[in-house]
Amino acid sequence: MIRTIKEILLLVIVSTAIAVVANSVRANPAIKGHLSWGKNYFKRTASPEATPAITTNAPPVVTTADKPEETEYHIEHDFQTISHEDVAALLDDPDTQAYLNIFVDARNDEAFQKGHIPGAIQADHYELEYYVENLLQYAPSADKIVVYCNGGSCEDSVLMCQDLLELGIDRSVIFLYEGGWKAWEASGAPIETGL
Amino acid sequence: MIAWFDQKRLSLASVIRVYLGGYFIYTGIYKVLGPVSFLKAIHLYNLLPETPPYFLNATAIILPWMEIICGIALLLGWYVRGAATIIALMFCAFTPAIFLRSLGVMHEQGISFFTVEFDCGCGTGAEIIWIKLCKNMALFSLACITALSKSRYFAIEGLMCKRAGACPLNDSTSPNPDKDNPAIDPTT
Repeated sequence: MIRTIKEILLLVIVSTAIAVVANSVRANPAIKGHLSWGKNYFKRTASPEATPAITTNAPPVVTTADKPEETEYHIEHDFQTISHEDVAALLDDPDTQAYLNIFVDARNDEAFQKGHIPGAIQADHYELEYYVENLLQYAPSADKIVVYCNGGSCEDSVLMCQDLLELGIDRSVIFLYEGGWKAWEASGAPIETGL
Repeated sequence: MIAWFDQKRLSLASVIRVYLGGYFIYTGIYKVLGPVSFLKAIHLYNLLPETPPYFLNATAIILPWMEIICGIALLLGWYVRGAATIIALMFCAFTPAIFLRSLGVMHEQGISFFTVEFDCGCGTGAEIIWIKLCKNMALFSLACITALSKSRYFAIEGLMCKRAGACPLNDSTSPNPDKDNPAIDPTT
């Protein structure tokens, strides 16, 4: 019994030591996969004055009506939202070409490379340190920042919106695209692959 | 005959040990490669508090490596009992958690328990949960068998005790393993 406890303790110590070293090594931007010990990755802060959602008179997207559970957004938030039609319209807006409207894809590398909204900037909330420089190159001067993730029960876009607020971006320019990638892909809208 | 049966039993226990070791090395590497996915998965169980975040983050950072180290220990036959006990304890913690979460998903989505499917963060992707629970029970049993087994076939522990000349266990390194262990020596 005592021998088993000793073995358990040794294995736990060895595992912890390797995990600490490996996590420190992964702080290198070239490797990725680093987790901060003290960062609350799931912190959700409510704003004192929630802004109303943007409403459009356009008909709702019906291309995914046969899979309503996939496009319905289950995460509570207080950010203003943007409809699929408005996001699609922004794609052709000249301001988008001038980076005055930007799309922020809050999904991970693998998902982003498989496909994203054309021109979108990737910014994964959980590894923000790797993306913040690129984000701050465009976000402060943008008139509209459309943030999306997978839709459904994906909370990454809401967490990304909070990150933008913490980076000093004005709440009025941040728009959450609730349908996210699932709705975008299902609608047959243009997509871009790779980084 | 008894000795033959015991030898087969001990060989089977070694096969189980090696299988468990390989399985945990695989799932551990899967989690180490995607620490954020694992962090999100364990967060969904609500087992650990969000604040302070140290518990949740430390679990996501350390647990995958613990699986790998325990897997390597089992594969090599080194600190077998400790490694198998850690793995059995992990199953004790996570299997009920998976079950409780599956009940939550079932309630939320209004679907049958047998159709509940999600990524439990176990390193095997999204799975039908009742099947996953059965697999976990089976793996838990295998971990218990390994923890209780005296088999040290193809194990570093077997080699080490043989070299020290103090093998309390039956092992493959002995020319006649059953002679070393009166408990299963048919001549005694």
